[in-house]
Amino acid sequence: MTKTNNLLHRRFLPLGKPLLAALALTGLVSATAVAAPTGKMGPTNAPTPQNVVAPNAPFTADGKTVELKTYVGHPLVVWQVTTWCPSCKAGLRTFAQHQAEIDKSDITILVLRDYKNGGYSGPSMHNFVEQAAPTLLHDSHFVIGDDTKALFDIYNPHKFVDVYQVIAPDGHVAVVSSTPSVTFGKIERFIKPKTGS
Amino acid sequence: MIAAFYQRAEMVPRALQFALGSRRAVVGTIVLFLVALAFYAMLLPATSTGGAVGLISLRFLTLGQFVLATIMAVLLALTVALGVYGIRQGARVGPAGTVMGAVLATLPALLCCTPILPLAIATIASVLPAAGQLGLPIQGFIATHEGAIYGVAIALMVWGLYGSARRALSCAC
Repeated sequence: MTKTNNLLHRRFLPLGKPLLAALALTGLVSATAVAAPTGKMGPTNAPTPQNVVAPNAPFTADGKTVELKTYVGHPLVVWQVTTWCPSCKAGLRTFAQHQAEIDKSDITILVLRDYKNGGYSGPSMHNFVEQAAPTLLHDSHFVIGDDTKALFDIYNPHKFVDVYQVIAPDGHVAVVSSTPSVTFGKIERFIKPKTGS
Repeated sequence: MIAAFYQRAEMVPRALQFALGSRRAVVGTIVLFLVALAFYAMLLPATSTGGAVGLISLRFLTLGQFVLATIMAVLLALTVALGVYGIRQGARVGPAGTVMGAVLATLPALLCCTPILPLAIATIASVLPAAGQLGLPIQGFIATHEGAIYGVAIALMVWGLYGSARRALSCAC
């Protein structure tokens, strides 16, 4: 018995540290795999809402309070961002790349800063857009503003930092998704040339 | 102090001369470098894709991120090369033990020093909105300190490379 113990001791004791390290490593790898980034800045693959009427809610733009119902009859994107979010910046650039196409349509893109900017300070919306895609600031198809608490609670209850809804002209929510930089195709379906012009 | 620093820094190329002494080691290191470069090049721009990693994130790769990915991949590949060499020289173990030792000698540095964990924390913060509500805006902090986090990661990787070089040289006497 003692001989066996000694043998085990001699053979496996030097492996003690590597084994411990292996265990720790396996734990870290597993934790990392489980927590690996999977596009959770918002619900990129959320199911299409069925027959959900977009609730009215106010937001502020240029110091004025505006209501979402103002836009009924036209496709509308309500995109909520934070001004410290890199994917939001990339999303602005994506919109700028499609600006010509958007300008020929009757879609409106509301770019609204999350209520309290997602809990972390950052630049103002004007500065944020100016840094990423300044041409959007002077485009009537883009409305840059801020959430009210009411709109934030209704349209972003999970407090994602980069989330949008596409509201169809009939006032129904047609798409819920996030990160326009990679999901622009979902918005593009609603960008159609104006009719009768 | 500068002389001491130089003496320490000089260990790395000396150790690498031993570690990359065979054609096999050089080829292995180059292959690992390319794999790591591809990995980092897809991982770093994931901040622009909301965390989606893959060919989709590669589209958002900037020159700065490519430089960072290259630095990290070089450090990782060289640390692995030194780790493998050290294990081969210092431990009388079978092939399985050697492989395990090589992996163990290098991967902790990989995990502690890459942006994987900061991104994982960012992911956790985004799926647990309570974090924001409780005044723990981890995502915001990470997003606004991205450069510093990468800097610390690279510093730790350099430290890991130096440690591996020292171990490799102690075995090569």
